[in-house]
Amino acid sequence: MTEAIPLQAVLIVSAAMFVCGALCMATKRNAVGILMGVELVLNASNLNFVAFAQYTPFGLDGQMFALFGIVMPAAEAAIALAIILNFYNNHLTVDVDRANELKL
Amino acid sequence: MTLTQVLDIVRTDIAQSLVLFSPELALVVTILLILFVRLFQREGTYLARHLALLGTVISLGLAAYLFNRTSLSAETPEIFGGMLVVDGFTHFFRMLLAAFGVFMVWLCAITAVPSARDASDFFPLLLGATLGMMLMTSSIHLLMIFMAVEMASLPSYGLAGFLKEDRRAGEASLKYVVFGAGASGIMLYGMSLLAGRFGTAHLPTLARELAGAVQSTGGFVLDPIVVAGVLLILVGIGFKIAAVPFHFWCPDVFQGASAEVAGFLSVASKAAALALLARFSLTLAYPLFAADSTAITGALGLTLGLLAAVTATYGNLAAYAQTNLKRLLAFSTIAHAGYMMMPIAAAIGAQSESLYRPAVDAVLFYLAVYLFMNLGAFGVVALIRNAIGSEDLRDYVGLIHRNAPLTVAMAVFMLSLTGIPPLAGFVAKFRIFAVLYDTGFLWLLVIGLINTVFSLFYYVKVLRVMIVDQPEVERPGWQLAPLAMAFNAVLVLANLAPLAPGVWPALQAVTQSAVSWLHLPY
Amino acid sequence: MLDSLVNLVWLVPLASFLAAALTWACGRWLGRMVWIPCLAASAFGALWSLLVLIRVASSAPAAVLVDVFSWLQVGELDVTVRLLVDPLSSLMLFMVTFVGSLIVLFSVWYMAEERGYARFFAEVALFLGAMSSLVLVANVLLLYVFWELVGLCSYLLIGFYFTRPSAAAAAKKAFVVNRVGDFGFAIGLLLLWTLTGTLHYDQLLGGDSPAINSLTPPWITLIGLLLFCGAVGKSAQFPLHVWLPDAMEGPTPVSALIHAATMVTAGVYMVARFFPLYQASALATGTVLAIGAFTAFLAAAIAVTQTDLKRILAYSTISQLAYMFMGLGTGQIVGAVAAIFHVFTHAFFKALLFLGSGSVMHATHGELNIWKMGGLRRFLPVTHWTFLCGALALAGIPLFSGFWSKDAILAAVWEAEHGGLLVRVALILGLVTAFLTAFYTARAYFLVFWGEPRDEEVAEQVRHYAEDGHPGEGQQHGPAEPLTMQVPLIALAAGAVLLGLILALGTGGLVPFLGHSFGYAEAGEHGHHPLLLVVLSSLLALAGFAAAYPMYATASELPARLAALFRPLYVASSQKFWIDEIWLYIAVRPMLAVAAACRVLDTLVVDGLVNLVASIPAVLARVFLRPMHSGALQFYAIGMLLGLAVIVILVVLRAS
Repeated sequence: MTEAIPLQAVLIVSAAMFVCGALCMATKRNAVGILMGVELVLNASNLNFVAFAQYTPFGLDGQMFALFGIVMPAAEAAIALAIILNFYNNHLTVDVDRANELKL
Repeated sequence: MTLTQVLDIVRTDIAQSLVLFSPELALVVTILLILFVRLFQREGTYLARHLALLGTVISLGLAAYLFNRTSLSAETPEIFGGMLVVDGFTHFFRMLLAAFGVFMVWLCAITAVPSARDASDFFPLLLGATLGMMLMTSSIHLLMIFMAVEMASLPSYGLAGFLKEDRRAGEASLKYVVFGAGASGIMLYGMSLLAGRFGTAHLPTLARELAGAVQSTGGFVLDPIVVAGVLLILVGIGFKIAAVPFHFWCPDVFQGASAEVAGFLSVASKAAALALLARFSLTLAYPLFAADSTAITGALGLTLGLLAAVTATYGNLAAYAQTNLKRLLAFSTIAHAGYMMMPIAAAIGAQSESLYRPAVDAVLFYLAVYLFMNLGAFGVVALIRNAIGSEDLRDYVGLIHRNAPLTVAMAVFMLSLTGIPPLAGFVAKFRIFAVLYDTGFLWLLVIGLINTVFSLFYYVKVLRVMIVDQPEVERPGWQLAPLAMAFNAVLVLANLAPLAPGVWPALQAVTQSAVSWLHLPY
Repeated sequence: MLDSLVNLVWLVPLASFLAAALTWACGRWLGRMVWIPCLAASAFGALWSLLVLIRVASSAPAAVLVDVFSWLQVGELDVTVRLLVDPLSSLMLFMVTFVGSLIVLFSVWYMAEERGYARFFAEVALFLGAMSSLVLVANVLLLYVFWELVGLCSYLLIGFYFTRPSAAAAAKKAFVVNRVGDFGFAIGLLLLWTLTGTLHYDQLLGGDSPAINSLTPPWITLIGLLLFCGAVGKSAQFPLHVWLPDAMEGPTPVSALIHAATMVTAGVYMVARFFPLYQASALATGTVLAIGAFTAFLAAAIAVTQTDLKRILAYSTISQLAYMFMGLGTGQIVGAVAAIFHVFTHAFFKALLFLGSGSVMHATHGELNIWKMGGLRRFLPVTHWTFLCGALALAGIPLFSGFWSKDAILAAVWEAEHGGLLVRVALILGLVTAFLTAFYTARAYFLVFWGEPRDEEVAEQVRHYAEDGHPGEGQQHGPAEPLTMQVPLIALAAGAVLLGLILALGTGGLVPFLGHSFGYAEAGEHGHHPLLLVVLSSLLALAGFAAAYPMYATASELPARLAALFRPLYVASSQKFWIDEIWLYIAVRPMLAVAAACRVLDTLVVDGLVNLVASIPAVLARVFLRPMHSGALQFYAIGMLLGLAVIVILVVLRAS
């Protein structure tokens, strides 16, 4: 089964996910949308980890990496959402373009 | 690595690991204690602050004790199965960060930020971030690096937005968290590429594998996975350092956050990120010297050197146009990060082992001095804010008549940041430039010198406003509390340290001893 | 135990520095008892340095190096604080601390009515610390540091009455004139360092091959002359002597301590310290001799017609310092020893004279014109008798201390082998000066203490003072001559009378002791005084003193008639040979003009350039950087991605 899908294919998928995520971060105006872009990038890397764990001697390390790569961003998302909520309380919007008071 | 191997390692070295890990453990215990006692605490007491002070002092004591004890044997043991390393470098940064923690708690006590009600929220975040930064300086495993960066970042996001009702604080923390999350995602992706390519996440092993691969192919073959991996990890680190072009968050966050938090981020966060940069890039480059393949290290050194040059220049130029003091200091922080990246770039690019340690030595030395001058500047900004309710340079006019001691202290910090002899900042900068000269990075040296001239103008502009300019209306002066006076006196004296016999050689001896047992893969 | 005595000699300056810090910090708290730290420190210093002096005198090796601590060691630059205890420095140290403690004791009484009592003692203690460090340090750099520090103390204390414009001007003058000399001094020291590569005396002067031996003769001459520049400024020699008479604006104890006994002899000490260097250059020693002889005569000639008591003493100080330089200028060990001998005796009798004039000043309520005084011996008996001792010593009357040391210098000049004409002229000038010295000393003495009061107002003041004590506004009206002022005067008078006798005869002269100072070559068989010279100088001194008696001890028309007879000479002398005016026209005015021109240049050109450089970052920041920080988050993200792209492209291009 594993021979059917080569490592390269998985890497290409993850690279595509990474690019999508990065573009999402750069273009989305909604703060929650940007967070979703971040999740895409993180999951691209998790995909890489499990793929390398499967195909290369990276082994158990890769699985562990993926586990932490899921848990840690969950915490990050929690605090990010809290901050976005706080921003909403102050500005009544989550449009990041409205976050433009801090400048010269 | 199989599960049994991991368990074996954990079983055999756990005792030693815990001893060497005790400064961090002290912080962990303190955090838990603060969170625990708040359950029984009456409103409006300062228990959390006292506990935080106690915790950081104990942590500092343990770090110093371990440094003294271990420096005799000059061991560099990897602990927790190769997750962390406790070498001179780690010891130095643990002491630096713990000492900085003590100063931070002191500053918070003076300026009454946070209020007694918020203290039991604030200090766990502060200590948690400090803990993460300590881990950043000692990690030699990619997973651990990622965890440490997150551990340092997440509380920092919270700290930046700590003033919940403040619109600007909200905006600052939003920008910080959005960019921070993005940067850590990008870094994790880079790690996945690099670790997967070589089948290990243990940094020294990875570096040896890289050198082996380079040797076996008979020279450097441009492997896109390796290049992308290294560069993406550098993006994550560069974000923490606020190196141009990953610096955009920095001025906004500093301006929006309170001056205390900005001071914390500008010193501790920067120190940890620079430590990580030095550890990561030097470890990666070191076996390549042995393999005598200098093309890759040359490229890495040049990249970092350009980054450093652009960062320093950009920071100094942009600072010139600022009127908000915290924003001005944010750009100054960016510029200083540029200065400190210069020797790291030079050490890698010079392709000579003998210059490795002096370069790291110069960075450590600069950071130790930087702590005192930059924290001092932010502390003065916070104290002035408490008195006049403004952080705008235009409201600083004639401050010499209103509070002379504070103005004098600010003058010392500003001149030290510029690098005017005989202040500490001069000696530190001089050592960095000496390293650049020794390594032959003359173009970087010239850029550094030009930058020093540029920086003079905006630092002196602040002093001119405070001292020379005449206010239109006379405003009342105010007195500093004794604790605040002592805080500034200590920092001013630290900046005058080159004048005192003995102090200077002592600091030099500490940094030298720290780099003499730097853990490098052979 | 004895060695730890020498090894702990740094306690002497340290005690004074601590006293200065204590007085400064706790001055308000100590109130009128603020003199205690200063007096305690100087008394401790005197005792300790006496023990050190005895230790050094009674043992070989004569010179001991004491390492106190290492300040910094960067590459070849090694600044270790090292002290040198040898016959020269231990004698100087004892003189500074002993005379210093007596003067401090006198000041307790003298300054009691002054505002700034605490400031006075803090600055005096600082001075004593700096001066004792100056004589002890064994390092050229530190010598310079303390050289400047004593100059600073002098500046502060001359300007003690800073509300008085003349005092402020005098302080400024002293400061500026000394800078002229120190400029040469600093260049000399730098040259010495550059050429020999060391700053330590032990490497410069000591050991088997002193570093100065490696210098070629032209360099030695140049360095010697440059160092002498500093001595000319500090020790007030022609042409830089103009600051010292004005420095009398300071409180009288300061004039006694700094501007007579100790600081002004620092120049003599420095030349004596580097004496091996001077010996190697006939031109340098010749210059020292010429300047010394000329200044001695010039200052004595001016002193003859001055009317201000303290100024007469100031010119006599210049003249006596010049004698010391004559001794050094012989280039002989005996000459150098005689010079230091004279430094030592001079410190006693000149401090005594100044303190006596301070007592007189209190009695006359600040009046210093000797033509308004007279008959004071009836009111101030102790002051009178001690002043007489000092005057006889200064005049060089046989058996008094000044006679022995001055005679030793003249003998050394007499015996000097080299030079020919210069030596002969110097000897004649020295002898003439001896006569003049006796004359003007006697003149001042007789006018002040003999005869009848000449000014009714002053006489009334003195009478009132003798009955009621202190005339000031203070509450404590003590006796006119209390014990605290009698003790220093009598102690110094005893020194002025006996010291020369003891040192010249008692221990077989000073040559065997001081001749073993650090770096000095073995002295030959010298030191017998030519009888003819002894008789000649004694007769001249007695004649000078005797000549003044008929003119000034009684009311007489003689002085006025003489002044009219030699009118041009009289005017030239009383106008101080117009040297101040010459300085004004050749140096001060042109400098002011240059300064004004520089100011114009500075505002137009230099400021313009600086503003131009300063505007570069401002313009760049406004044009390029401000638009980038618009606060818009999306723009930031795109900026980062673009930046990353640029880096990737760079790396790929570079690597491939």
